[in-house]
Amino acid sequence: MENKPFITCEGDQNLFSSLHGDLVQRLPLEPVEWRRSYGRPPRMVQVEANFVPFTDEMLPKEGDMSLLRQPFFHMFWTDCPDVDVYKIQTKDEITLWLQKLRIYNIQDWMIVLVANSDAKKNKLLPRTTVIDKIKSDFCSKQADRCLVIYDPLVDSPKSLESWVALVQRLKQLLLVSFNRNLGQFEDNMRAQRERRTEVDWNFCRYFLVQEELAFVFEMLKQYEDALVQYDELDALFTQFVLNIQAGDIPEWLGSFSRPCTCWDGLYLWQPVNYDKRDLIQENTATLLDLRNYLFSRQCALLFFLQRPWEVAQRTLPFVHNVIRELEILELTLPAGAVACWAFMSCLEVLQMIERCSDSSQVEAYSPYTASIWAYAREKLHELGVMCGLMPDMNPSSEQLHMVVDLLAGMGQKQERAESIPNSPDKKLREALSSKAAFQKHYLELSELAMGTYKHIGRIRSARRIGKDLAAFYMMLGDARKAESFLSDALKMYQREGWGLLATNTCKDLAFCQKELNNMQKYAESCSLLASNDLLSPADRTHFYNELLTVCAKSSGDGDSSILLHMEPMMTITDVCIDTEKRHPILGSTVHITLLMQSSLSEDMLFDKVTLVLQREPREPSVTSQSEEKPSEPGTDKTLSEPPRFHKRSVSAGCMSSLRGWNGQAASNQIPSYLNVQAECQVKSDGSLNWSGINCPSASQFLRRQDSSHSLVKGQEVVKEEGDLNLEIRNIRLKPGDNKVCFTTMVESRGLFTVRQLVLRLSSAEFASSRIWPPASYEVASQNPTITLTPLQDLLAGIPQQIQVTVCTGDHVLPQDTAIVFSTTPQLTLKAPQDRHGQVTKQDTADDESPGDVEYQTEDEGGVLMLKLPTVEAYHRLKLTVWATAEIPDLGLSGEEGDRTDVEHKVSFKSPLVKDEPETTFIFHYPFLAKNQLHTAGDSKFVHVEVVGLSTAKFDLQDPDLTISDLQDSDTTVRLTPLHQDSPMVVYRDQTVSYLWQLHPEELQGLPQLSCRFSLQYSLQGSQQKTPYNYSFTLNSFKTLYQVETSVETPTGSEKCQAGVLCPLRLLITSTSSSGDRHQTDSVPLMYEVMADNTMWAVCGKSSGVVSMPTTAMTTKEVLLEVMPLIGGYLPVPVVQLSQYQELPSPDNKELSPSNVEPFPDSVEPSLDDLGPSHPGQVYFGHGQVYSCSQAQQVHVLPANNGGNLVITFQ
Amino acid sequence: MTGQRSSKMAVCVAVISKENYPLYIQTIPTEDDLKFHYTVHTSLDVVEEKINNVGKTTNDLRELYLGLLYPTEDYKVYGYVTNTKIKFVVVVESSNTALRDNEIRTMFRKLHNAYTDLVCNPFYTPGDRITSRVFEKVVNAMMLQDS
Repeated sequence: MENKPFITCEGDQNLFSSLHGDLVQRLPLEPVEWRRSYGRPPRMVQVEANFVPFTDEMLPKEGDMSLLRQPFFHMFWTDCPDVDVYKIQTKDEITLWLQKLRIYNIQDWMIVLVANSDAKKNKLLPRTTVIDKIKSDFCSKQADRCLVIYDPLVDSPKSLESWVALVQRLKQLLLVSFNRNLGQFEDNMRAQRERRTEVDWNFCRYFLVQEELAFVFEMLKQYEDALVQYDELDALFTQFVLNIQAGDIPEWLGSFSRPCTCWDGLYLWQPVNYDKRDLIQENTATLLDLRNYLFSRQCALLFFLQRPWEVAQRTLPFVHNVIRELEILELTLPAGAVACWAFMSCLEVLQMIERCSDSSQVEAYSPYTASIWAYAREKLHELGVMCGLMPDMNPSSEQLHMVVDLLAGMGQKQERAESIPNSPDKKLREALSSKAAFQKHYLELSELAMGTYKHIGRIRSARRIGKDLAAFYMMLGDARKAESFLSDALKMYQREGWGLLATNTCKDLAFCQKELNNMQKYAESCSLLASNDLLSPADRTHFYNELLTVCAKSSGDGDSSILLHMEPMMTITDVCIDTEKRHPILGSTVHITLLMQSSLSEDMLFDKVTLVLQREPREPSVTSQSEEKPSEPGTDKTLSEPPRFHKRSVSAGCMSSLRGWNGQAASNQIPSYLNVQAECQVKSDGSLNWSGINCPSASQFLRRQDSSHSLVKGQEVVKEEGDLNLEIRNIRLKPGDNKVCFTTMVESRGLFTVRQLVLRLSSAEFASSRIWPPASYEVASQNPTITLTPLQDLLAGIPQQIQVTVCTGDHVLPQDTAIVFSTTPQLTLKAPQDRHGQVTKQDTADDESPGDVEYQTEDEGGVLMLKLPTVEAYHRLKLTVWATAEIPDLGLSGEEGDRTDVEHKVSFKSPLVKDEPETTFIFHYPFLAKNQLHTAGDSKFVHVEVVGLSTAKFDLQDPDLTISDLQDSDTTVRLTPLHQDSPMVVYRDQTVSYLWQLHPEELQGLPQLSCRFSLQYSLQGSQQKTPYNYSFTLNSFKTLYQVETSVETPTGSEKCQAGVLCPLRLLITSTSSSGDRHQTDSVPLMYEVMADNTMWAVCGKSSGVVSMPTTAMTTKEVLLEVMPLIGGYLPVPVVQLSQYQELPSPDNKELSPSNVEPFPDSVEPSLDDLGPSHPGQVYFGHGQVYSCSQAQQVHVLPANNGGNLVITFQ
Repeated sequence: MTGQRSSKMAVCVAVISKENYPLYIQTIPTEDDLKFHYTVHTSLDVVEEKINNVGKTTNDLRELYLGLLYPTEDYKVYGYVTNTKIKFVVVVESSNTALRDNEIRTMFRKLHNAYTDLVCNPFYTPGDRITSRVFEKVVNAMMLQDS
């Protein structure tokens, strides 16, 4: 039925029927805003209407508050062409019509005049057209009630315009009418509801009233509002039923207490199920009828609203609520009837949802449909058990009867159901018909429920259905399928740490495994269950015995042994490694004690216990070497030597979550202690960069919990390959704590880590997971090392002690182990006289009294060889050798300068060390000799200075100076020592000087002198004297010129006075004959006055060139002028003489002699140290020019200020 | 039978750790433990769903009460999650119509307070199974007859 509002039409029926189609079509085209009373939000609605001819019967009867059957609006149609016709006929018709309406107090009417636009209009006389007449006659107050439509059947703008106006007007007026009528209706409805406590009130009656409102809303496509009506009815009814519990039973509810004979499920195929509605109308509906109808209406509206998920959401609460209401009303239904109803209703909803929604809504409704599937499955299961359809049952005749009864109660809509394939009704009938069909449907439903749960991510719910399915499969005898479901569930319960659930599942799984004859897994489960304290003691004993049986049986069969997890049956709580030393060495004994906890309720005797150790070969450690230099720059270094841990997954205790409450999620296990290492980093300059502690396995424990979701982890028993297996036979482990001790002799080097414990029982082996934290001991492996260290700062020239340290490491030194030293030249190594070495333990402190050993040496051609005695492992042998570095003749080697030390290298060869390590030593010179030449006129003096450098005192004896390279043996040069010949002592910062005089007459014709200074030195207190040589060469030592300067008093005064010019007389005398030097008569000489410019001011030129005759003993005199600046005894200005060579450049005014051999600059350091200040200037060698007036002073009076000092004597 | 039952407040109270293992489960003694263990465990599916959805859809992260997790024919399961992701699950009988949302909220608030007190105890390590008698008393009061 279409619930469109009725609109009556009076007047020209023929005219209207020609326009009817157009109007119906145009009316719903555009939605119009519906402003509602009571402050309800306005809505956009599409108005549709059912136009019927006006009859008196249509008008509402008194007291009839029905909404749907009464017309909402009345129209009068006319095409009266002119006023005359109007006056004669139409006016009366309208009057009559309006009178009828007035009787019923109806104000919702409208008059439509269909006019021809071509009709000529009388513009001159207004209000003479038909429409004007109608307006003035009937619509004087309501002008909008009258409308003209022009040429409705012609497609013209004017026609269109008038159509729009008409439809618009009609819609508005219609909505006004709705508002008025609905308002009245609602008032009435509310009044009825208020009377609900009265005795003769009937819910069904009220239901129909409010439903009518819902229908109107539905008709207006206001499904939301329609739904509200049903929800209100739902709530009202629910409240009534709940009130029954309080003893409040209204009369009308009695009709719902009638026994149900029909338990048809929901029927959602039609929006309105009129069969059920009729029952309600007849007041013969049962609770199920009413509920089914009400819910089907809600569903229908929700489907209209495109909200299938809400249907799904409401389904289960609806079903549960109905079941509770049935209980409250104490309705007696045959056993299983409710289950049938619930099952069918659920399936109906599910089918409907699938049909009425598109794929985009699957996500939205899946969370709800999953539960509905699961619920339907539950109900089917219930029916299956009830009717004896489970695989392990055979339906009795009683149960067969029950099925027939149940089928009878759901037959009522069979005729209709025929048309729908796969209807819930049919499905249920089929499922209940036979065991095979039931099985098929049950499995299908279970899969669907599980699948949907998995799809929406509710794994736990899916697993639980899986567990039920497993039970079902067990009944079917399909243990294999059951096993997979159970083990999935078990894994999850274990992982999440639900002990009771895991235990329960494990028990089921054990039966399943026994059924499958999977002894490996069965034994595993038995061991788990036997050690599970959540199980009853009887169960535990049962599984304990089963375990023993299985283990014994599999050995009888001769099968290969079965490998099982040791945990949680036995757990290792602690591992103690007891060694005699910190690092056991080869041959020592190691005790390993395991503390184990047995979770079994009884003793268990194991045939064999094997402890598996893994050996890691280690590179011989370098500790002993680095001990000597602990701060290796720039490197990370672990200070202590902790056992090295490898990153590996913790597999321990995955099963322990079975053990009950304290078993947390397995991956969360943190060992009872953490391995933490101290670490530091040293900068390259030796200072500490940082220090801290580090947990090498931190990343393992800090790993994200939820990212390691692997189910397989820790499930596999792995028997580790061990390098060392320790065994104990026949050991009995009591419930609770046990101690198992292993003892072993160390036979090989390496890091031994306890990895696994394997318990053997008959043919079964229980292997522990990798033992964590790893307990290990290291059989130390250390190579011998040899180091050389000086005992003090080394001095050259005398024997010095160098310590040789031999660390044996884990080697035992055989007798006569040789160390052969080789050195750089000029360094000799010698063994000391006593040849005793000290032996200490390598890792003990120094205060332990060392053992004394003797050793042998051989000295072959300056190569020292030590032959060591037998030394045990981990000992340190210390012995000393003497090293003497010769002091080289520095003059000879040409290494003159400030070098005060010499570097030597010592390398050694030994079977103990691989290559030939080299050690560098630095020897400091104890003293240095320097030479100097002094001149006094013609006389020459050689001065040798010995400067002490070392804090040690040295005695110097027998100084001697010899001239080594005389040109022929006839010439002799006498050296007259001017110093005392007694022994001298030299030490740091002290000098000893020796002086020899040379006789100038003997030096004639000698261009240079090669001198060799030698002395005998000995360290004070030592008897041993060692020669010291120092060679040097004297060049250009002959005096060529004497320079004499004198400052004379200015003429007219007795003394020089500051500020007054005085003459400086310069006398240059050539002392040697020229024969051997120059061919020319004279040489140009340059003089420079080197006066201290704070004392002297040189006036005029301060330098000049003189031509010096080459003949001996000629004198040149130069007169200069100087001015003393201050008073006092001033040193006479020094005049420096240098050889002058003229440059060939014509620009230069100076002359430039050619062919002059250059003198080395270093022979004569000039006063200003800058070298010749003029081009062509060459300084004379030291000793070639003798300044006679050196250190002379001249007395200068202070300047006369010009002021007079008047002293008056009385 | 219904009358006597309906006066009980809760039939099962569970505290579940962040990692979803049970810290505490108490059921009324007459009932089968296992059944409630399954019920509570299954409810975790919905708890997780709700927790995940809270982050996505609403900004109201402060609402700890998760509401009705799922109804069964006989029971209603309610959930609550603390800021530290400790979950509380309370199972009440469907027939107990006296318990409205408000009562359930009150129950959870009490439970949360009791749990907070428990965690404040320095001798309790968070994550351990709850054995506190004070806590048990609070829970038992919830499961006793509501006089």
